[in-house]
Amino acid sequence: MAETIFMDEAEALNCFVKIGYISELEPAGQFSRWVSNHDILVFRRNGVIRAFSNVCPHFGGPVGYHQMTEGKFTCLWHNLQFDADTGQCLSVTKFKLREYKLMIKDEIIFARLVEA
Amino acid sequence: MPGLYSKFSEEVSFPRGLIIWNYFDHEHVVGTHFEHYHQIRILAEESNWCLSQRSATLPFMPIKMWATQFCYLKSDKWMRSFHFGPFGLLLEQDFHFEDVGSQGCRVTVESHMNVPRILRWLQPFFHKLMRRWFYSVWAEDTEMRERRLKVWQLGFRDFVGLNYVNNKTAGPARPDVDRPYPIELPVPKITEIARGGVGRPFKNSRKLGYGLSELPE
Ligand code: FES
Ligand SMILES: [Fe+2]
Repeated sequence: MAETIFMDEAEALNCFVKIGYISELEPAGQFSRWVSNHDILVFRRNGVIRAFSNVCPHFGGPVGYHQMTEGKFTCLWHNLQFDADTGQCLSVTKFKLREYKLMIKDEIIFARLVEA
Repeated sequence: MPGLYSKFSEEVSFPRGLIIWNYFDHEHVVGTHFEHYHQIRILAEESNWCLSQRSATLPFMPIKMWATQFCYLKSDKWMRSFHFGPFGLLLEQDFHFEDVGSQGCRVTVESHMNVPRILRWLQPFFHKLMRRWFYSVWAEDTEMRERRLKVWQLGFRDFVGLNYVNNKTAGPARPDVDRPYPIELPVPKITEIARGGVGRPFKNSRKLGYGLSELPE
């Protein structure tokens, strides 16, 4: 879930980086982009905007190359499928996509890349 | 050279190990090349050879065709490939990989098909067919190799991913452009490709591609 995060603006700007605009979600409902060595897949599902890593844990293929269908992403390179609700790989159970925390402000989408 | 013949050569900025990984990663055929290949099954594979069956749609001929392919690495700079098609047709290919500096490679592909003298007039068509096939598959492989190199230089580990992404820690300040790319075959398989075979799991795709361009700083 995209979380509502309470922190002052200066602190937030330190932790979060801009990854795109709400308008870029149209018309496919998703987009991906490299930002600071992170490839991030942003998508809208059931009205909520979320983001997973777009790097497939198998060999590094692009998870969001195809438009999501029936709640699943299918990685381009070898067709592994991932549940769009959980990021869990449906083909190989040990794989799971990392979810990024998001913050949305003035139609701009920010993600928190580093948390630890 | 008797029969039909064509030759293409391209210089790329990928290390030879990555190019060979790409050719021996047979599972990507129905993924990356999903518009050309429909199914693939590996019948047998060892460290330097593979025997597979694959169905594909060739350019100019909108029909699905099954072929059996045997490919092997004759040396770490030379791959041979044999495609056994219908009507006893045999396409023989030689792939030569020549290092260009430490991170580049020249790939030269020679294709040859023996046919009776009476069919030699097919040469221009054969060349056109091979050219169309080579460049459409090549373009898809180029995007794949570019991305593979990018994640590799960021420290990607197969079956794990990027540690700094998974662990939510700070990533490398810059990619390790000198990270060696070893040739390690066979490429480990995770799908049913070696048992019942695999195909693409969808009928149609809305392609969104490899992503939007990076944001200005
Ligand atoms: S890299 Fe994603 S399925 Fe292989
Ligand atoms: Fe390929």
